[in-house]
Parts: sequence; structure tokens; C-alpha cells
Amino acid sequence: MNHLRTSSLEQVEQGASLTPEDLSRSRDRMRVLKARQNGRFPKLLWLLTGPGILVMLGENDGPSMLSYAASGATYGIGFFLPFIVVTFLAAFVVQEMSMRIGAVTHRGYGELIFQRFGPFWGWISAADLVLTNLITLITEVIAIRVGMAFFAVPPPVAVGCAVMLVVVTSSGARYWRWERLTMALALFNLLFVAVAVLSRPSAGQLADALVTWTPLPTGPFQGFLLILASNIGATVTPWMLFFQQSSSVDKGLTPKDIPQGRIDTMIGTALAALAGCAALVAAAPLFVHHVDTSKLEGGAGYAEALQPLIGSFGSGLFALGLIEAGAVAMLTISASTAYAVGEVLGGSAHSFNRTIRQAPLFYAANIGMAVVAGIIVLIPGMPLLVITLNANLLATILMPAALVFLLILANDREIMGARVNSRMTNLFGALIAVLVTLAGSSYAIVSFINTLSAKAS
Amino acid sequence: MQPIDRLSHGHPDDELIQALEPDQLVAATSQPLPRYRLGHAANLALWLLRVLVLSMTALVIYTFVEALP
Repeated sequence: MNHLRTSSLEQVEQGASLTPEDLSRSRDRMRVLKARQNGRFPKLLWLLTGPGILVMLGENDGPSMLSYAASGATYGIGFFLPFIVVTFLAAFVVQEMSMRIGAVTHRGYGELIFQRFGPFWGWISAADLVLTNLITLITEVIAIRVGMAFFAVPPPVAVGCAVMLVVVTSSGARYWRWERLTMALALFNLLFVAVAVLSRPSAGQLADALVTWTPLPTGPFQGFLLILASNIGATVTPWMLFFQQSSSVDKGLTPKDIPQGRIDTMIGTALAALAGCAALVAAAPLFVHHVDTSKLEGGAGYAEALQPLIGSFGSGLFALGLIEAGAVAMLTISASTAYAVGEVLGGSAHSFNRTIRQAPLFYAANIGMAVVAGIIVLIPGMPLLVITLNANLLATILMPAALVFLLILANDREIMGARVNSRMTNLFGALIAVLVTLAGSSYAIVSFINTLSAKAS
Repeated sequence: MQPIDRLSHGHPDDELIQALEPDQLVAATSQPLPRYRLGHAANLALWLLRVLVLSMTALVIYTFVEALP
């Protein structure tokens, strides 16, 4: 993106307008430049971390933690433990591309699709995102609702708290403030590690599972495919692409920051994989004691079922973890919707460095989606469990289309210059796209055939 | 876009503005990029992928509706 050769100051002096968003971002950039000039690398890393950690811990949301717990409760500690690690490695490959494209082009994913491939593909990508985000947001509110139900908080209060969280964190008109508040909350995702420790897993069994991928899953093939596709949908999803690219732009990352962006994404990957594996390990006692998980009603059901096995403290932590998972995901997924809406509707401001008055559409999308999800969850008789189980599957099915555009953009020399994908990254990216397509399609076809057979018999 | 008056907005100094890369300014990112030329094969592949995604989504929605209590 070197088509503009004059400096930013020269551009402003030649009449380019300077916005409050530019000023806020330049203040953040000033701190980064000073830390780099003074060789203060820990501070530089502190200033540049954020999008990578947030996207990974944000994806450890309500339905994802439920998927990991279901893996542990259904199959115990075995195949799915290393599988979760591998899915996070795949997520790293994909998210590194998002971060790099954002740092080089200074434009969000939705914006680039719209401008490079035209309004048709731009609108379709945004529509896919809004659909999956709305369904996923509903599941986040469900996670908060059932998590708080464990502590006897009434549903309307729980849902009100969830929506208010989005409103409060969005105020302040500073990306930095929003990011740091969300990151502080996201670290509580590691509560699942404490629950895993309380479930007293065998270190030898953990090591054996990680090395040998055994014991292999047994039982109905459709059930296995459901857990497999859900776990994939729990780690690589369309909103993550929109979010990390746009938040890297909002934060002001530049090509010089790509190494720190990679470290940020790596830290996020490691923390999220740790928490995801911990959720599986935490629920594994349910497998050992042959608890029928098909009768558990959502996340709180897991917490309640674990109570006699790991104690009240452990099950309370599990419920708290679910509340946190839902809360952080609400913030990041609402933000990804807001970025996408702002980017696709060209000309409208789309940054947390703007006030509500300066970016009304951005904030309306951010808060509006949370409000709509909250209202839906409070509708009596809504099939909350069925929605939760299918949210990750929908993300898995819609992901290949988003991945293909990401790969094209990451190989687009006109906008990426020398920072296009390496052959190895392309190989891994293509492999991930094929595997995600196969996993999503297999589950959709098998479950469709089974549904038809059940109806016919 | 709401441009600000440099003199009335706390006198942002030159060093502060220089902290941003030139193509990072909102004024620069507001300029649309040229269209990417997708070949026929790439266009066809994107359409086929879209058809696959819609078909799979339809199957999932059907299964979802049938699973409703």
C-alpha cells in the first residue's frame, strides 16, 4: 500500500482532512513509536497486543466451551484433546493472515471484499456475517443466562446485564479503552483451567492422549460428526476474520508491527487452546461416571451435573466461566458486526475512536445486535438448546466462503506488495479450507439423511 | 467524516500527525481501491462454493426445524 508517497503531515498540509479518529490513533501510535525507538520491547509488545488475544479468547465463547465440554463428557480424555490443539493451530494460520492484511492495507475485511470484489460479494459476505453473528450472539446471551441461573439470577436481570455490558464498554470513544476492558474480562476464560485442575485428571492420561490421539471415539457416527464439526466451528469462524482485521486497523497496526501482531495472535492461540482443552478435561468426569449428557440442558446443566463430581466450588467456577465466555464473545462479536456494517455501508465511520454522534451506525449495529439477541432469548418457549447446538455448525458451513476470499486477499500483490502469503501459508490455508468444507458438509448431509430416515420410519 | 480544525482542536502538533503512516489517515482509507480482476475460473469457483454453502445451509435449517421440540 505504498501508493501514497507523501507523509501524513504533508497530506494534511496539502488539505487532507484530519479527523478526531486520526488524532486518537496517532496518540496510540506515538507511544508505539517511542517504545520502539527506545528499544523497550516488553512495553512495545504490551502496546501492540490486543486483537489476537481478544479474537482467540472471544472465540472461546458459550457454545464453544459447551462443545469442548460435550467432547469431554461424551468421549473422555482422548482423540478430541489433541484435535482441539490442532484446530487452534489452524485458527492461528487464518488469523495471522487477517492481522497481516489489516496491518498492510489499513482496511477491514468487509471493506476490502466490497472494494476489490464489488458490492455483490461484499453484501453476501456481510449478510453471512450478520446471520451467523446474530445466532451466535443469541447463544452468548443463553450462556450468560444459564450461567447466572446457576447463581439464582432471574433471566431478565441476566440478559439486562449482558446488554448493559456492551453499552458500557462501548462508551468512551477510544479503541484503546474498549480493548483493554475486554482483554481484562477475557483473561477470566482461564477459570476453566481451575475447574480442570479440580477434576483431578491423570497427567499420564493427558500426555498419552496428546501424543497418541487415543482412545478413539466410539458410538454413533452422526454424534461424532456433530462434535467434530462443532469443535471446528468453535475455533475458526467468519466473525474472527472480520474482527481481527478491523480491530488491527482500528488499533493502528502497520507493517512494522506484524512481528508483534504474530506474537499477540500466538499468545491468544495458546491461552485459548489451554482454556478449551481445560473445558474438555473439566467435563471428562461425566464420561467416567457414565452421565447421560444428552439430557443436560445447556451450560448450567453441565455445571449442575459436575457438582457431585468436582464439588460446589468447581461447578460454580464452571458456571462463572460460562458467563465470562458469553460476555467476552458478546463484546467481540457485536464489534465485528459493527465493523462489517460500517465498512460495507461505505462512507460511514467505523471505529471505537469515534463518539456515538460521529459514528451512529457503527454504535447502532454494535449495541442493536446485542439488544435483539437479548430480546430473542427472553421470548418464552424459544428452543435455546437446539439453537446453541447448531450455532457452531452454521459457522463451520459458512466459513469456507470467507476463507477463500481471505486467501485471495492475502495473495493480492496489488494491495499486499511483498507481504503476500508464503507457499507454506497458502498450503495450510487451502488445507484448512478443504477440511472445514468437508467437516461441515459431511455433518449437514449425514444429519439430513438421518432426519429423513427417522421421519420415514 | 467530520474533519477537525487543527487550530481549534488542542493544536495537534506535527510530530503527532507524523506518527500515522500516510495511508493510515481516514482521508486516505476513504479512497476506494481499484477492483480486482477475477478470472472466469475463479468466478466460477466462487459461485460453486456459494451454491454449496447455500445447499448445506438449507440442509442444516431443515434438520434444525425438524429437531425443534
